[in-house]
Amino acid sequence: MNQLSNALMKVGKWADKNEYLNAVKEAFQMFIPFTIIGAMGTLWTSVLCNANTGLGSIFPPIMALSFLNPAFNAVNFCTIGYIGLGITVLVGALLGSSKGHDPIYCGLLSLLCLAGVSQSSMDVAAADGTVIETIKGIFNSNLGSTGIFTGIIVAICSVELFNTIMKIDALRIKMPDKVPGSVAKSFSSLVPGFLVILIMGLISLVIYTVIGGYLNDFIYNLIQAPLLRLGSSLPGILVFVLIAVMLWSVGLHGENMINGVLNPILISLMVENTEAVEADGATMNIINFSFYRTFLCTGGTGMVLALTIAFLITGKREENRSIAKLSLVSNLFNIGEVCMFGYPVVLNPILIIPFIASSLASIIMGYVLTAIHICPIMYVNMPWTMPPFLLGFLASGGNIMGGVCQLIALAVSTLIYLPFVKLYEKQQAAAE
Amino acid sequence: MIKIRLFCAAGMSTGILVERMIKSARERGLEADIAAAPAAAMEEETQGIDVAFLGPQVRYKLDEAKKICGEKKIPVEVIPMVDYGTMNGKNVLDFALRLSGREEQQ
Repeated sequence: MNQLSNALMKVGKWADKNEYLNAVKEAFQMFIPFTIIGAMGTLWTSVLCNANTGLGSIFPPIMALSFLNPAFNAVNFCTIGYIGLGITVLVGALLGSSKGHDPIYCGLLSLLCLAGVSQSSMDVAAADGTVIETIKGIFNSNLGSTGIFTGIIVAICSVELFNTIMKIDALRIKMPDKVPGSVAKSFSSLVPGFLVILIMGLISLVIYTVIGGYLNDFIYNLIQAPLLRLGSSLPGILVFVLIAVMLWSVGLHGENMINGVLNPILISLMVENTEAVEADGATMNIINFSFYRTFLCTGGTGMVLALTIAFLITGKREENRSIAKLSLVSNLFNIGEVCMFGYPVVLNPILIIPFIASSLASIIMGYVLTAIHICPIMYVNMPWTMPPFLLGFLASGGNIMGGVCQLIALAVSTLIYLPFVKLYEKQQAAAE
Repeated sequence: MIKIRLFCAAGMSTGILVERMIKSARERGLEADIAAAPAAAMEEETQGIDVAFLGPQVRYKLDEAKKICGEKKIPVEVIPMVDYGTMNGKNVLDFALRLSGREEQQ
């Protein structure tokens, strides 16, 4: 157990020191609140003020407020619709700052590079191929969910290039000492900034010449789409879940350690669903950010609210019951640490078994329930502290079955925990 | 006056412990400024503090924390798992006083 703990610690330290993973992780952490803001817009237009799918179908008077819908659409469009743009700026700024450069400059540079490698005009052709009109502008497909991975890669490349070029003294314009520092700084980054934007443009040009498409199409097809397919498959997500709960088993914050990889995938899948609902299309991704939180993190990672309930039902020992009572309130907001370190689950060979088993069982059950259309597909992002039932209910756009299915998963997890709680107390008694 | 900051992933779970530490400080008549913060904000949040703690679940950040706190000569330690799990504010406050060398004041 100790060896496993040490090995996982090493992985954790490595991931924590990795500048790229850290920048991506923090960028998503900072952008998630905006996806929740966007979700509020979606809740209004598709759950409340909607005559087909929302409250409007059973309570028509609310449709009198439908003149507000464009404004709520804008709330969604300007947040979730521009997630790729936001992530690009944030990754650039955070990576730049960790390398000791001005974060605002690096964020902006990354954004400009993204614009530089994006398709900026499109010919509208008639049936016979003659060009009727040329539309100028960067398409939303570059700046929204389909541009997330391109944005991450462009930001990392731009800042890395900038960092490398800034080290070459000859390329920095020097000002006499009398020139104020901020002015001198703006000049010293002039040539490196130019070179970064130029090089990124050249890379894009090479890709366009060789494959006949834009960088975003290339990255989307080569990296983002396969990664999302992997993450949205049941075996794929089970591997992620297993890694997260193994880390938690030795007392390390599993999600925090793998979020650099996990969040880009789960949030992209989530945002694809939100965008599909906004466009009145069908949601496709059963597995997404809210699904993960609903079917793994009820009470905290590992469905630990179920563990607390199991202790309250069957626990007889005072020390366990007092931790269960202490833990219950934080569990209702999906904070699991008191359980993890209190009973404890961490490094506890008996409780780790149901901890891992209920995690996998709950995810599989959630997947099956969704696949057979008992549980609705989730498409609304919610704060991770949203209490059980409410999370499933709201994340599925106010569908009661979303909440019910979360409770079913909670009940099944409780049944998995119960015999092990009894066994653990027996062992505690024997040890005395 | 002792100023303590507790760091975890989001500053949420350590928040519960903070309340208990404040309660324990009040019982001893000790003037204390105790708060929780996300580990990502460690650079800013360690400004002018006496002791820094890491939640055990982010103990892999200890090296980085020691680097940040070392420059400012602030002692930093991981909260023992048992005290963390039982949210034992008294023990953790004792630990903080020991680390800051103020034990004798008690």
